This record gives sequence, structure tokens and C-alpha cells, in this order.
Amino acid sequence: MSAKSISKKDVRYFLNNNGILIGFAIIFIFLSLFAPNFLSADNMVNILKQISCIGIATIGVGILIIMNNNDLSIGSMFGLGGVAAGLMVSTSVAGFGLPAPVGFLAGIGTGLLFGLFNGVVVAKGHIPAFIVTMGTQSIARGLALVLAHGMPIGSFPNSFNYLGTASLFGVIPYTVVIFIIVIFVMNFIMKKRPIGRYIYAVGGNEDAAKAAGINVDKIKIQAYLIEGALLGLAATLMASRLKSASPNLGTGYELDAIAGCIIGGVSFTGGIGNVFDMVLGALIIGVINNGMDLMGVEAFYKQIVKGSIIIIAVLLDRKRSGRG
Amino acid sequence: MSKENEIIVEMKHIDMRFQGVHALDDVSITLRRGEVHALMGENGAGKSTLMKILVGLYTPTGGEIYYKGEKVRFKSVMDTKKLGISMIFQEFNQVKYMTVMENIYLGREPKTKTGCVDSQKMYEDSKRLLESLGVDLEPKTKMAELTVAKFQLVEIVKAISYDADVIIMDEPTSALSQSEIDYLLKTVNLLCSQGKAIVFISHKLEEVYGVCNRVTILRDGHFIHTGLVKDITEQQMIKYMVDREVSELFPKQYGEIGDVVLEVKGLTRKGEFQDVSFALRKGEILGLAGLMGAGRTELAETIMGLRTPDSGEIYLNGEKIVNRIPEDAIKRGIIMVPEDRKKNGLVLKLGIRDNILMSSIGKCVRNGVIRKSLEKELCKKFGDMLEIKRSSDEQLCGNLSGGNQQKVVVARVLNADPDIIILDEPTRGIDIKTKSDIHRLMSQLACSGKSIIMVSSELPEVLGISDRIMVLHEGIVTGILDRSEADPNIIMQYAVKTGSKPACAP
Repeated sequence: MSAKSISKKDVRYFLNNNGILIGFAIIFIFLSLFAPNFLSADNMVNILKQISCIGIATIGVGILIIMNNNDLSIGSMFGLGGVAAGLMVSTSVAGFGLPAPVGFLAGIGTGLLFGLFNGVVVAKGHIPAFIVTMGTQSIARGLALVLAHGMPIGSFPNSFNYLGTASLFGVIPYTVVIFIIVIFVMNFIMKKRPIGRYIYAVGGNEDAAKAAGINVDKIKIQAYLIEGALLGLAATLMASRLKSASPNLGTGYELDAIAGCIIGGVSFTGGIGNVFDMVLGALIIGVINNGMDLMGVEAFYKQIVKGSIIIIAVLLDRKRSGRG
Repeated sequence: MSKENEIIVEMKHIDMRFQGVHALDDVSITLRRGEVHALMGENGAGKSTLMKILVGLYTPTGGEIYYKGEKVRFKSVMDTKKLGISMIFQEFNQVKYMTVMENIYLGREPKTKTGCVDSQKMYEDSKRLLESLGVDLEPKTKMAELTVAKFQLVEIVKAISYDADVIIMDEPTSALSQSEIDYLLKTVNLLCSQGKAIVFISHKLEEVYGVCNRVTILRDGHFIHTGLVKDITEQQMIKYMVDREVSELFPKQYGEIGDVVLEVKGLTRKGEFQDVSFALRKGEILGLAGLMGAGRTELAETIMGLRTPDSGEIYLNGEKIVNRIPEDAIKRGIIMVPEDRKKNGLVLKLGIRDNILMSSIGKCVRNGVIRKSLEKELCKKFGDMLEIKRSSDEQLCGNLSGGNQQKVVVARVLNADPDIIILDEPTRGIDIKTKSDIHRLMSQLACSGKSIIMVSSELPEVLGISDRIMVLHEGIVTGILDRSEADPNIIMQYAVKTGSKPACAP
């Protein structure tokens, strides 16, 4: 009898601590059974390819949410970063026709610049991140439209499109490889570098972090810089994958990225969360998107399903951790 | 007459388990009308748990509760409130932006016939309630304008407005100054003379002896003793609580006092403190006494770099320093244990390890990487040294008892290898054993050449452990006393001193 009760407890422990994984498994199994071709190797690679760019952004905004901050300008940055990179490399009349690495640097640089701006205004201006990044959301979108004259930019050299379209050994797309590298680097930073610890501390209790001698302003700016760089990278990869950069690209991406974090168990009041769970969250969203496409669900319904899943995920999480 | 001693609550053989932890084991308590019943024990002894069961927050796993002679099972706080049992929690649950009367009647505002809030009735009723307790408060005052003591009084009034017969106060005086405590205790006496039963949870022996008739002592979830307060000595009471004689509450050791390490000259922050000058020597404990609002915490936080001074200078070993943020101070070897550990001492959402290492994670970094083994080593060192009770280094600080939380803060501070330690109310709201541990540690640190500034509102603590005592009154230093010349009367005189020294001219 005691053996039984222990095993019951173990099961509950497993369920409590692996809720995200279990949720993912359930969705995965469901789609394997009901979505045609879902389980094929091609489709798996396809899903990974689809989520790579948003996944990088998810990790970026995830560390901000852990820090009890946020970024609403993600979608616009996909537009602006892509346009900045595209203008550098495009061989059309509007572009500069520069080498591919310059394009990537321009994309990442744009992200860093906006990260710096967001970080400095949030930290030094003491304005809530929600408001600041709502502002930059509009600024970045406007800037992208101005730079691109409201038109998509194309005519990229193959060297620029290579990373977004080619695959390692012809199997794993380079975007996925880069995504995986980002996952491990960010996990390392969050777990093994002092700045990671500081981000958790600032998010958990900013007053205590400050009193404990953490330079809170500096940490905030650094976190926004990291996030900005990741957004720039994601935007450039996206342009490379699509072989074009539209200033209108990315509308609503911030919601997918933030939703990925929430589903991945990042606490919206800061201090709690980890990189692998964020990735799982991004995967769940990607798999649902893909599965519904395969099942032929209309785009309108997809939004309803996605929204419901976000709310259910948080409800389950609340119940699990007894915070409700 | 017989109503005086009528038994109102009986909790019998209460048993409480939280996921394997046996929080209460066969505990009984009897409350009578017209008595103030002290519930004592170390942090984690089960006092709060027992009372939370009484108010229906927890459902006990065993035992029975009799209320006014009837066997009851309480399901929610609203149930018990309606029946006349109210608990005043350590954390206040008030809406700061509402008025006193709105807070008293929150959620059950008197209504007019049309269903609107009847402000007139609310005003009159709350005025009557406040007057019945002799509380000098205008019902239309905003809560945000009140002091902590007044908050507490509003909570009590709220409890009484439910016609409470049983009022439970969980460490009601821990955040109050002496004059506010006196006022509160007077109120407690008044309530008790009206035939109410009051449970008084406190760590302060003098209050228990001052106001309580009966005492029940718990230890580690077990019932230890119950009886009249006058029949038990202080020593016995402590022994019951900690199961060993705490021979000295303030184990003061005398070390060598060296040269001046920190000198503050004319430090001023408008509206908080003016023209404060003092010197701190190596190996010295400087006590900072004064009433609430005397500017002690503000002064300490200014030295730490949490606030910016309007004028004045700080010298460290003869060199002028400016601490813009606490990081600067900590790099210079000055660090502070804040007054409110939950607000700015700890990150409750993080584990013990992360909190202990927060001020000095650099120590665990080799080649740019945080090493687990070094983290473990430091956690073990401080965990053992301060006897932090923990199931693992990752245990969340939010789940620790007050005393253990304070130890984690102290561990973090010590781990930063400071020369000067500022402790703001280092033993507020923690149990006697931890208190004695912290006092012993402070003495040891001073003897090993560290310099300590201790802000404290508890006179026995200030007198017991300081080498010198600086007294502030409304932001002005009214006296600096040597250990030998200080006694409670002199300190209180300085602390309430008015007009002896003109406020610093601008």
C-alpha cells in the first residue's frame, strides 16, 4: 500500500514538474493522429524551420520577462531589421549591393541600437517597458516603411540567401542550426554567467537586487542589448529565408513570442523561467500553427485556438503552482 | 461576573500536516472572555498555523474546535468573521488609496434604499467605533497618510466592527515605535475589559508580561506549557520556547576598538535628517536609537547609496567617498542588512543559494563561468556558520521562516566581505534563539575588526550590544552616548527631545 502511495506521489511530482513537456506531448500525439502528414520527417524539419526565427525572438523577450520587463516592438523589429539588412545587400536600385556579412551586421546592429534605446529609456527614464516599447513599436515600423519606401525589398544575392535557405549536410536548415546555437548560448548566459543571475534577481525583486549591490540600470540595458541583438539576428535570418524584406513583416509576432514564453512557464511578474521551457513554448505554438494548416483549419479559427491555448496553459500553471 | 471567565474557544488535540511536515501535533488551547492570551514560541513553532486554523484559513487534519460551547468546523475566514473571530495579520490588507471608513467597511458598505453606498451612515458608524476605542482618527482620512501604528488600529477597529469576540493579533507591535506600542497595548487592555478574548502573538517578553494574563507556549508544533503569566519567570519562558537556557540575550564581547574608519560630516537630506555628523571606529558597534520617523533608516540608506544626500560628506579611512548606488558602497566594503527583508533584503522567488551569492557572485566565477562547486562551498560555509535550516540550497526563500530569512540576508552580507556593516532592525520579528545568534555574531564580527552600525527600535537591544549609542530625534542627532553612560531613561529623553537644538538653518 505504501509502495502504491509513493508511486502516486511520484507521478504527481512528475506531472507537476513537467507540465509543459506533457502538454507538448499531448498536442503532438493528437496532431500525429489527426493531421495528415504531420509526423513526416519533412514536416518536422519544416516546423523547426518555421519556428526558428520567432523562437530566437521568444528567447530574447523571455529574458526580459524574467527581468519583469517586456518588449512590444518585436514585430516591428522584424520589419526594420530585415529592411536594414536587405537595403545593404540588395542589388536593386534602392540597395547598396554590399557583401552578405554587411547585411547581417546591419540587421543585428539595428537590433542592438533599438535595444540600447529601449534599455536606456526604461532604466534611466524609469518608464514602464510596456509604454517605452509600445512607442518603439511604432517608431521602428515607421522607420522601416520610410527606408523601404513602403515597398518590399528583394533582389538579394545568393550569398545572403544562403543561410536562410541552405541546409547543413543538406538535412538540417542553417536557420535551425543557428536557433539551436542561440538556445545553448542563451542557456549558458542565463545559468552560468553573472548577468544571468542578475537578471533573475532584478526580475524577482528589483529593490532587493539594488540593495544587494547589483547595478540594476546596467543589467537592464545589457538585457535589452542582448534581446535587441537576437531580434536583429532573427529578422535578418527571416529576410534571408524569404529572400525578401517587407517593411510590413512581423505584425503580431510579439504576441507569438510573448505567448511562447507564457506557455513555457515564464512568470509574468518576473524572476522565474528558463530558456529550454521557452523553446518548448515556442515549439508548442509552432506545432499548433503547422498542425492546423495541415488539417486545413481556416486562419480565422487558428487565432481562436491559439488564444484559448494560451489562457488554458496559464490556468493550468496557476493551479499547479498553487498561485491561483 | 461569571461572563468574565466564560470559556469562548476550545481547540482540542489539533493536528496539522502539510505535505509530510507535521506542523502541529496534538495542540490544545482554551480562550476565555476578558483575557489576553499570549501565544509564544520560536518562529516555525506553529503559532500562526494554529491561529490560521482557528480563523478557518486552514482545515486541521485532526482535532476539534468548540466555539461558544458548540463543536464547529470553520470553512473560510468570512465564516469565522461573521461568527465573531477576527485575525489581524502581520501583512496588512488595506487599500491605501481609500479612506479609513471605506477600509473598515470594505466589501460590506452600508447601502441606501437605492443600492448606493450610504456614506453618511458609514461615516457615523465608523466615527462611533473609533471613538469607542479612543482612537483619535478622522474616518475620512486617506490610509496612505497614516503611520503603521494607525494602520494596525484601523485593522483592530475593522475586527471590532464585525462584533468580534475573539481577536487574534499576530506580532502587532513588531513595526511600531515605543509610544505607538504603549498606545496599542492600552487599546488591548480596553478590549479585554469589554469582555473580548484576545490572542497576542509576540516575541517580546516585556509586552507579554505587561499586557497578557495567560500564556501558551509551543515548540516545534508541540504543546509545551499553558498557565498564568504571573506564575512563570522570564527564564522559564525562554527555556520552554527554545528547550535550553539562553543565558544571555545579548552576549556582548569586548574587542579592541581602533581608529576611525567611517566619518560622516554634516549629512543632510531635507525632510529626513539634518546636519548629521559622527565617526565610526574599527571594531565598534554604534547603536542608532530613536523613535519611528527619526530618520535612522533614511540616514543608513544614504550612507549605503540608496538615497542621495542634499549636502554633507562621507569619509572612508580619511578619503572622501560618494556612493551613487549600493554597488559603489559594497565595492568599498560597506554593506547593509535592510529593515524590511521581504521588500529589499531578499528575492523571495529565488532560492537560498542565489540569495546568499547575490552580492558577490563574482567569487564563484572562474574563466567567466559560474562554478557549481564554488557556489556549493560558499553556501555550505554560510549555511553551517549561521545554522540556516534548509532542505536544499535551492529552497525558495519565500518558504523560509522569518528567522531563517534574516539569516540568509546576513549570509549574503557577510559573503560580500564587508568592513562596515549596517544592520537596520536586525532582529525584528524573529525568534529569541535566532535573535541571540545574531547578537552573538555581531559581537564576534566587531571583535574581528569589522565596524557595525545598528539601527534598532528595541532599547534592550541597543543597550545590550552597542559600544556607543547615537540618538536621533526628528532627523537631528540629540546625543551620542558611551555604553557606560547610557540607560533607557537617558535614551528615551534624547529620543523625544524637542527644541533643545534648533533645526539646522538652511
